[in-house]
Amino acid sequence: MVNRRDLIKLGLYGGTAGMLHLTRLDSGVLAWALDEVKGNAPSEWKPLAAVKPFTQALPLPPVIQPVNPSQLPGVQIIPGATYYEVRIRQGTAQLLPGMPTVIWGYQGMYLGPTFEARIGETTVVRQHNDLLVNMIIHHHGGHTPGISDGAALLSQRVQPGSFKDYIYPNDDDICATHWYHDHDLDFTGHNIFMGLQGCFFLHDAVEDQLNLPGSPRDPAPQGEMPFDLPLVLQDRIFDFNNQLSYNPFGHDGCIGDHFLVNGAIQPSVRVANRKYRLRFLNGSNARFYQPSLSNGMPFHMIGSDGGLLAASTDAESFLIGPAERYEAIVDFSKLKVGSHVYLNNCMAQTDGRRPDGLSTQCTNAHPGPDGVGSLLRFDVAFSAPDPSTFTPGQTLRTDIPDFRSRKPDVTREWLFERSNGAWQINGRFYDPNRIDARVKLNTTEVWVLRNGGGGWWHPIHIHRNQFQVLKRNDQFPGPLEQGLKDVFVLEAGDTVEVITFYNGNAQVGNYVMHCHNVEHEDMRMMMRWTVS
Amino acid sequence: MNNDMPRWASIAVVGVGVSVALLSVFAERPPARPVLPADYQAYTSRALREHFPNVPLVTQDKKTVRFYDDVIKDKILIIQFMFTNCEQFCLTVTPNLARVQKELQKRAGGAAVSMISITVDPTHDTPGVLKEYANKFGVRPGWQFLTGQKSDIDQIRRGLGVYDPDDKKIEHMNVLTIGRESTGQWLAIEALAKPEDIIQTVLSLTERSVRRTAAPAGSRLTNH
Repeated sequence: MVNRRDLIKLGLYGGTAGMLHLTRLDSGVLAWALDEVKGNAPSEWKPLAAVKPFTQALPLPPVIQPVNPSQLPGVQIIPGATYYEVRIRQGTAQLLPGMPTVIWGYQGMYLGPTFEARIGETTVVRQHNDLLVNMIIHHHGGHTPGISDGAALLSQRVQPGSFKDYIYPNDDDICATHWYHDHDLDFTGHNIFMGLQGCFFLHDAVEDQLNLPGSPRDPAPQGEMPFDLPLVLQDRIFDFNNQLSYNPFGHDGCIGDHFLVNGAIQPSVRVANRKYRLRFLNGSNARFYQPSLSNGMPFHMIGSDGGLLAASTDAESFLIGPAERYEAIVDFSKLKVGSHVYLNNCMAQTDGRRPDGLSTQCTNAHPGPDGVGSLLRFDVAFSAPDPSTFTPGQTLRTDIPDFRSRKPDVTREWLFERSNGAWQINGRFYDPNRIDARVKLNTTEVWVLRNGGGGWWHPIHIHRNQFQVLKRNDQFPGPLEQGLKDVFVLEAGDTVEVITFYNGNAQVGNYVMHCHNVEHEDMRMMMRWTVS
Repeated sequence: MNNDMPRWASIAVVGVGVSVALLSVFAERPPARPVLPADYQAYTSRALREHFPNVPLVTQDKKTVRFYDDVIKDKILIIQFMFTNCEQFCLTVTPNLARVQKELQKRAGGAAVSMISITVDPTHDTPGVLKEYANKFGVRPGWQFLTGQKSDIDQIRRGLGVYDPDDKKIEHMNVLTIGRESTGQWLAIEALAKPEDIIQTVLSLTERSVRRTAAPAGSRLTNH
C-alpha cells in the first residue's frame, strides 16, 4: 500500500517534473505508483509498467466494404469502379488499461480500415471530414491524378463538415503495399499521431499466380489471423490520463516511448507452424526501426514500397524508415506448437535527428525511450496446412518496369539541408504557392537526392510515382533497394540517385516531395512540383 | 502478500490498492485536467500550458505582462524572436511582418491576430529601444515587442521549441511560431516566408474557429 512518505515523493516527483518532459514523467509516476502498490522497491522509470507486454491480441484493421454509388449523391459514375464512403471522426480506443484514449480516425478507428483493389480497378472514396479541422487525404504510393493525390496544398483541403471524392485509377505497374494518411499543411505530424493512417493493398494476376501465403486460395481458419498479415509499427507518447500527447513544438521529430503494432501496445499474435507473408509499414512520425526475429530466423524479403521484388532475398534484419514498407515471408514451419518468436527492434533512437545505432539488447521486453526491444510476440499456437508455394531466393516477377535502362531526359538535383534552424530543400522552405519543378508527361527523369549534412537523417518521399534507385553513394544499391520505391532514406552524408518514367495521361497536376519525418515536413521541408 | 490467499483475493487487494494509489496520486496533483477529454481542443490547449511559462515580460510601452495570462491565453498569435542589433535576417523579417500585419487587419474578418516579437538580447533591448525599433518599422497596435529577464526568455524559447540544437550561438531560429491557444493548434514556419503564405497560414487557423454544422451531402463537392 502507498504510505504518506510515498505520496510525498509522488507529489514532489510530479511537482518538480521538467516542463518539456512532464508527459513522460507522468507515465513514470503511474508506473512508480503501481510498483509501490505491488510492494516492489521504488524502481527507476519504466514507461511500459502499466501495460504488460504480449497480453493484448494483435488487432487486424478490417477490410472496408464497398457501397452502392447511389448512396453517394453527386458522385462521378465511372464504369467498373468500386465505391467507398469514409467518415473521418473523433473516437476512442482502448490503447492502455483504464481510461480510453481519444483518437482521430478514418471511420473513427485508431488505424483506419484497409482498402484492397486490383490493378486497373478504379477506387472512388468519399471522405467526409467530421472533425473541426481541415483534412487532406494522401494515397501514399499510388499513381494518382493530382486532384486526388492529397498533397499539402490549400486547394486540397477538405474543410470541416465537408467531403471530397478521391478517385484512384490504380493503374500502377504492379501490386503493392500502399497506405493512406493525413497530409494537411503544417499539421500532418499531429494528425498522423492521432491515428489518421490506414493500409491500401493492390493485387494483380502475377501475384495470384505466385500463390504466396495468404492469397485468396489460402484462407486462414475461422477466427485466426490471415496468412498475409499487415504489421504497422508505431511509437506514441501518452499523458497521465492515457491521452495521446503530441508536442507541436518538438520540431526535430516526434519520438515515442510506447510501441504499437496495428494499434496495440506490444501485442502477441497466434500463428500456425507454416509460412506467413508479413507486410511491414513504418507508421511512426520520425522513428527508424531495424526489425529482427528472436530465434535468428531470416526474413525472406519479397517486396518494398512499390511492390514485389524481382527475386526474394534473405535478411536477418532490415532498416525501415518512416513511411517505408517491406514485405517478407517468415517460415514458422520448423517451430513446435507452443513456442514463441519475438519481433525485435534493434535500432536505438532517442531524438529526431537520427538513430543512435544498432543495439545488442534487442530482446528487452520493456523497451525504454530508445525503442530497443520486443515489439510483438508470435505464439506458434496451432498447425495448419500450407498450400502456398514459396522458395527462398525464388524469382517473383519478371515484369517490373526497368527505368534504369532508360536514358534520362532531365536530371534534377535536390539538396536536403539544415539551415536557418530548420530544414530546406535547395535552400528554400516549402511555399504552397511556389512550383519548384515542372515535369513533362512521358519523360524520364533522374532525381539526385543529396543530404547536406549536419548528421540529420531524412526519409524522402516523392509522390505520384514509383522509382528505381540507380546509385546510393555511387554504388549500385543493395538488394532491398533494387525494387520499386517511393521513400528513400538519406542517412547522414548520403546521395541517392533515383529514376522514373512519368507516364499516365490522367496523372497530371500538383505533387510534392518532402521529408517523411513528418515534423520536418510540417516545418516545410517540402517542395511542390507539377506534371503536365 | 499472504501466499495462502486465493488468487482472486490477491487480485482484488492489488486492484483496491491500485485504485487507492491512483486516487491518492490525483489528490496530490494540481486540479485535474478534464477526465475524459470530450472536447479534444480544450483538452489539448490545457495540456500545452506547460509550454508557456507565465513569466513577467515588459512591453515597448513599459507595461508589465505575464507571458501566459496576458500574451498567449485565448489569442491567435504570430510569435517571433529577434534583437534590435541583428544585422542579418531581422532587418528583413520585421518589414516582412509589418506587411503581414497590414494585410491581416484587412483580411482576418474581425479575428484579432496578435503579433509578438520577443528580444533575445534583453540587456540591450530595453522597452525604450524596442519602442524606437517598432516606430522605425511603422508597426501598428496589436504588435507587442517584449523584453524581460534573459532566463525567462530562454525558458519561453525552450517551451516553444525555438532554439537551435546545432548552434548555441544562434540564439533564435528564424521561424515564426503561429498558433491558436484555445484550440491547441500550433505550427512553425520560416520568418522570411512570403507575406501571402504567412497570411494564408494564419487565416487557416482563424477559419477553424468556426464550428461548422455538417453540410448536407453533396452540397459541397470540394474537388469541383
